[in-house]
Amino acid sequence: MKDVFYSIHPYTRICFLALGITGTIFANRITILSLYWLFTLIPFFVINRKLVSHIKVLLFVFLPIYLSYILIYVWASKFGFDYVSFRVAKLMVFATVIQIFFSFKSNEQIDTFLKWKFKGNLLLVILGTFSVIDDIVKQSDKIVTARYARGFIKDRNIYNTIKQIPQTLVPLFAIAIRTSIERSDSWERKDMLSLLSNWEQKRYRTHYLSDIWILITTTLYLVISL
Amino acid sequence: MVQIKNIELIGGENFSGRSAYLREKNCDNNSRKRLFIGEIPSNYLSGLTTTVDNEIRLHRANNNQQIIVEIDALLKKCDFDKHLFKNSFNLSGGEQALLAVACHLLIDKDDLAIDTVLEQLSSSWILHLFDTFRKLPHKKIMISDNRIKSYGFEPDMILQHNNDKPLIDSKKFQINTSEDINFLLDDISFSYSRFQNVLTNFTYEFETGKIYLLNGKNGAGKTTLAKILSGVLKLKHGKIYKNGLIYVPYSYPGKIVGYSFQDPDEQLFANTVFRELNGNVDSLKANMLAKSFGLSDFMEEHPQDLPFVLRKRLAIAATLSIDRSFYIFDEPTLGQDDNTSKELAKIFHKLTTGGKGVIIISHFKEFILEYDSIDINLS
Amino acid sequence: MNAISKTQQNFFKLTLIPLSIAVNIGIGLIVKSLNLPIYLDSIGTIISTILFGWQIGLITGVLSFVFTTILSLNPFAIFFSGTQAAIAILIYILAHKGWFKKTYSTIFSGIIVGAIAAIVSMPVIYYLFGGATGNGASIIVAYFINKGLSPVNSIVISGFIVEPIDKTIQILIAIYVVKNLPTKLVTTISNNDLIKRLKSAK
Repeated sequence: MKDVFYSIHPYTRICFLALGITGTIFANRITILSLYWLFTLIPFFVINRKLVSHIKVLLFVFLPIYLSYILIYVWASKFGFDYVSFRVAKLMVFATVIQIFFSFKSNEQIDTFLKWKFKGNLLLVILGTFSVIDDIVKQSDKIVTARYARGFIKDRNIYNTIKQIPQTLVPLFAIAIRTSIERSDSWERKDMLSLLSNWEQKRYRTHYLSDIWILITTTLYLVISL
Repeated sequence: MVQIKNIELIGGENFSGRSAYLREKNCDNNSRKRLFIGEIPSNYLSGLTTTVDNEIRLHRANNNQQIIVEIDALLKKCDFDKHLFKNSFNLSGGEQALLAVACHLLIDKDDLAIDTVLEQLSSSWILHLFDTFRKLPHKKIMISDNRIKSYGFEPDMILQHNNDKPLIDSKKFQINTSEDINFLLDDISFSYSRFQNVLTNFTYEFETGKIYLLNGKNGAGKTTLAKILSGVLKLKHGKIYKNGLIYVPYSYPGKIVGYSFQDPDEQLFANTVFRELNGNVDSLKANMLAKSFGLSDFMEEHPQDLPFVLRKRLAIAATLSIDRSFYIFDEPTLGQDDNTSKELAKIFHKLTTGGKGVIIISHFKEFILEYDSIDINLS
Repeated sequence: MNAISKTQQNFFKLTLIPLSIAVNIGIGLIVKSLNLPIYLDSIGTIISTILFGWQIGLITGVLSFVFTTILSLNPFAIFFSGTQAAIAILIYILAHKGWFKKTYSTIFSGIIVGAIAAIVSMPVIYYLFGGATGNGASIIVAYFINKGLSPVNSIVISGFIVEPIDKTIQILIAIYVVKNLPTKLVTTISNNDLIKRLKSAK
């Protein structure tokens, strides 16, 4: 087993969130927002190879938001483009700080949440959700595949996809309930709580430089914004 | 015959009470229930970790060095290193089964019951696993498995239950003859990502009236081939000809080739067994299928309320309820005892005599040896 | 399995919640990728509320929206999690009053749930987005502002137009699913008779 390598140290994460959100609330010029985005947020995505997911969010979340801002504030209420761009930039930085705060590599969740002193039922539910999302995605994919294979779907179009939702949900929920029944039995036999409490935390290894860079630039961002 | 001291093999037919026996059995030295792994391996993974590596770390939390070394060796032999940073739910059924057993061995509790799930392992993995059991003599392991005899093991105890059992009966199975069809797959390749081909330049001709056995390791493309033939996946390279004419299965999903998955739960949609067997359209055929698959007593039950053995049979019967030229069955004998497997083989043979093509994907071919079949090795 | 221990009952809830969260997120994802003016992101919340009570429904709903943000699917979902709590509680009350037994009362309850969801999510849409959420509803908001209405009123009106339709569809789908679920399996651990009553309704 290798040492756990953190994308950001759990404590750095918390500081980054607090400083970044406060900074964004007080930021009053689009230049500050853009510089912060360019020199702190983008490099993080590059280092952690998550640039694609960020670009997806920009395209599918912020492009529509930008368009609807133009619609509401330029077309309907006669504000300028400067105003609209500033508000969208602010929203975007705000959301990106949250996105980075919550971006975990697949093997660092347990250690991060334990370091944040999460415990008991809440910890189980959080770790469980991270874990089973892939399972449910795979199952629903298979159920839809099965509907094709059994010849229930004649044509492939959006309307037919939406019509599949109720029929897909029946086996999906049945599977989920059966899984819970069997897994809860298995947790009891395994004594899952004691296994989790005996989880040995590994030594922390992080990109020190990137952690320091994030903290310094975010503090600077907050100071300038204030 | 091989006997291993710390393993107790429980034999018996379906519905002889094996599962309940294993489930209720306590640890040998106290009244706590023993560890248990059932038919569906993913349900016995912790559901708390996102990587195989962390799943193993979670279970080895409090255990001694010898077990850790043995389990590491077992996983290495089964080539698990390449899976360490994958999500455990993205592994295949057999890989999940091995991971579940390995994790349960790591727990500091010596009594373990394994029900049916070993059927999903290939024979070489079974032998590695039994080797590991032998090296951990303080572990007391109970196993119930329908295929165990074929690996040269003899059961220590056979459970018998005299109640009426829902028996499968191939004599009641009838089939309408249909015209012959052949599929020529010409130089087909398929990949899910740009970097790795699942199928490479595969050329083969499938004809109706024959039984094909699809072999090959995990990831060799068995399921992918089945999905292409049944029209679920779009073919990217190569051509398929039906009776000499170009044919695109993707445009007619599920029309000529019926495909029954390994996991029954994902393909049962109706709210009664009768409707699942297409009884609303053709009740005669639905009743015939129910009689031949031993489902007559459950016609008004909800498919997902049935036990695993019957859900698996129902999934096969439901695939047969609609007339097609080819049928693909993925691990059709999962959870089924010797008798049932043999009856299934007879039904498959009957299908071929009625002019259908049957393609079987399985690690276990002993059940069909009686009949002529054609091995296809994908590798 | 005959006797089910307290520990297993507790673990059952803890293993079920993540699965229903995943289902909730999954459906929301499919719909969002089609960019429709409906959300369909609470079906999992509604089903688990009807099947396993308001606590499980509420936790499922709130955490679904938190996780939609955590998984970088929609960075703002987390701010709408309050709406999910309101939906779970409302659905629980309506289900126990027997409103889901007939189709017309089901549709009527969809309109009520939608109206309340619109009111609860209004402050977030106004203060965080200024009305511009980037989905189909913002076109309606723009239309009313252009007609001379105040932003707050436009947001509320657009919510009243979109939400009741969305929530009615979701409740109808959820009831369909609940009626078609295997009764024995569902009642293995939680012994609630709501599913039986719903099934016997029609």
